[in-house]
Amino acid sequence: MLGRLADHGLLERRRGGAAWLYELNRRHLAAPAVEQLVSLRALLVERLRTELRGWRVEPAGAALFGSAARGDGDLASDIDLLILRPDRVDGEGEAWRGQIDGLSETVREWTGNHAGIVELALGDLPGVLDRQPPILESIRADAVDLAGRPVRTLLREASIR
Amino acid sequence: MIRTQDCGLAEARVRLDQARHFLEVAEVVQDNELDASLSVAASLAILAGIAAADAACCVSLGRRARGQDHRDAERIVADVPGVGADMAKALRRLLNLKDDAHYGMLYVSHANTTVALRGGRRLLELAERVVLS
Repeated sequence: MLGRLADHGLLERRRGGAAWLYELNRRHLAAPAVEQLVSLRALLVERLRTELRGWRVEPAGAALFGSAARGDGDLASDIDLLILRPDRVDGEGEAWRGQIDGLSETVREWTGNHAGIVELALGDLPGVLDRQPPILESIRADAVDLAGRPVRTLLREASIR
Repeated sequence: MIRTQDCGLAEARVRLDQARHFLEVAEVVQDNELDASLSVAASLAILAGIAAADAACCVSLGRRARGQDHRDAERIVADVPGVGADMAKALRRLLNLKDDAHYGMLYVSHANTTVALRGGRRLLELAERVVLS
C-alpha cells in the first residue's frame, strides 16, 4: 500500500540501507485529508472532552479505553468509555440518563461505531477491584482521561479503602 | 441500513411467550443473590426486553430487527404506534446494561439487576398491550 501511495505521489520514497523510508508529501493536494484522517483519534478525544465538559451533572471520572484509546481499532470496533458517577447522583434520574443516552448517540453520529459505555458509581469501585474483571487490565493500560479526576487515581484510592 | 425480517402475529406470540419465560426465570434466579446469579438474572431480563420489543414490532410493523446489533431493535421499536417511544427508552436502558454485561461488570451491584428486571417487566407490559389488544 505504501508503494502505491508513493506511486501516486502522496508519499516520497527513498532508500535507508536495506529498507524503504516513506514520508508524506505535504505539497500533495490530498495531504491535508491524510493528516486529518491520521489525527482522527486525537480529534475524537478532544470532542469527547468538550462534550463531557458540557454535562450538567458532572462525572467523577471518565475515560476512553480499549482499541479506540490505543488507536488500533477496526471498522467494527466499539468506542469503549468508562463513566464514573458520583455516589450522590441518581443513576436512574432523567438528567443523568439523558446525558448517557446523548453521549451514546453522539459517539455513533461522529464515528458510525457503537459506544460501549461502562457506567459505575464511585462506590462500586471497591467491589470491582475485589473481582478483578479482565476489563480492568485494559482500563489501567489504555485509559485516556476525558473528565473529572484521573481514573487510575480513582482506582488506586478505591483499592486502599 | 437496518436489517429486518418480516413477521406477524404468530411470531409475536412466540416472542411474547419467550419474554415472559425469560422474566420468570430471571425472578427466580435473582432470589439467589450470588454475584453470578445476579448477572444471570439481569442478562435474562435483557433478553426478555429484546423479545418483548420484537413481539410489539411484529404485530404493529410486520417486521423486526434481525441484525447482530440490538440497537437496531431500539430504532425499529420506536416506530410502534402509541408505545414506541416508551419501549425504545426502556430498551435503550436495558442495552446499556447489556454493555455492562459484555464487559463483565454487570454483577457489580444489586441495583443493576433491579433496574434490568424493572425494564424487562415494563417492556413486557407494553408489548402485551400491543399484541393482546
